[in-house]
Amino acid sequence: MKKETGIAVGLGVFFGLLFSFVVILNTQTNKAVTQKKQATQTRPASTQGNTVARPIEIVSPNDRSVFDTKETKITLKVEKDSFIVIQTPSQDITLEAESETITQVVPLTLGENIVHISVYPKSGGAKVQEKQLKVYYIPTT
Amino acid sequence: MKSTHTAVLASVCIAATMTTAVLAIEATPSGSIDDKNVKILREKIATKVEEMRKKDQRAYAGKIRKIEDTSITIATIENNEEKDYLIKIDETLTNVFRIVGTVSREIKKSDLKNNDYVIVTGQQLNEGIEADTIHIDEEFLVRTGSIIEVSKESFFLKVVTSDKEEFTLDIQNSTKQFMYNMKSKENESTGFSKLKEGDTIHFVVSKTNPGDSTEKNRYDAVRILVIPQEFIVR
Repeated sequence: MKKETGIAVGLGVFFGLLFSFVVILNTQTNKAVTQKKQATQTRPASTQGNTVARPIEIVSPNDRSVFDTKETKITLKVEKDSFIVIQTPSQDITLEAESETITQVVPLTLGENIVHISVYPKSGGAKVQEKQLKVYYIPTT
Repeated sequence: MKSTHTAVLASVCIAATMTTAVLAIEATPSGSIDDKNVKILREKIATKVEEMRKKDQRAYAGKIRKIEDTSITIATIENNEEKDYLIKIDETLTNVFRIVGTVSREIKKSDLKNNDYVIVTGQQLNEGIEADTIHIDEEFLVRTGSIIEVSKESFFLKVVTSDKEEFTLDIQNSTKQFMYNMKSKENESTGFSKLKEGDTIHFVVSKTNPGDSTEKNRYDAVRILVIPQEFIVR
């Protein structure tokens, strides 16, 4: 075998091994990415049953606040698209939360006003959340 | 060169303005300026304090447990626990009212009785609350629950709340009955015949005027709002 032939065979083997090494490396990387992607995709499904609706937060007014006006604004933080019932001694107000923060004007009666808030999550069937505050309409004498 | 001229001109203007201001202050008697400023400052502080006092004003509501010469003790419910407050009454400063419907009428301190439900406004001090006003009011109860029984013969509803408390609501002619309409998305007047077991009910009752029954947790319903169960399982 001539010297040139030997060099050609050697180079062929070298590049062949290099090519094989690159192909194997790429295959393993792709496999790892696919597995990682699958794991990411399956994670929400596995925890979906534990999803808890956002708890009601009464931003304002504070409990036991005193007003000298016949109405007040109530600001709540709730789950978007949930159904809200606001009960007061004089009126029941129903509305759908168009955003996470909603502001609603409620009428006040003279004296104590119990404001009872119930939130029905958008995914029907889940537990209704309730919160209550007392505000007072006491006109200044 | 132009910019140098502008700078010089601006400096002259500023100097002239400051000199005028200083001369104006010197021309006015300093005593009257100080008095005026102090008066304005005092008024501003007083307004701010009043605003803050009103903004942070809290009321204390509860049933009268004890009446003494210059004070009463009320029992309030805070975080589901009963708490007593000593309310100090000043014969000249404290005003006592009775709320009847949409008006309040001034009454005497001697008209207060044990078990009256009162709302007190005033400043909380270490030893109690210095009352500005005391209002006798009707005590309401506002709750939500599920209808578990509908009595078509006796016109009552049995309701269980989310915290497993059971109520019997007598539906009277005076009871305002509403049902949420899923199509119109409005609360509409309804009748007793349309109420059914499984519906969710939001109700208001008066603890002061519970009705004829002496049964525990049985009240004449003041107002009800029913959310049909079809809406709940939507």
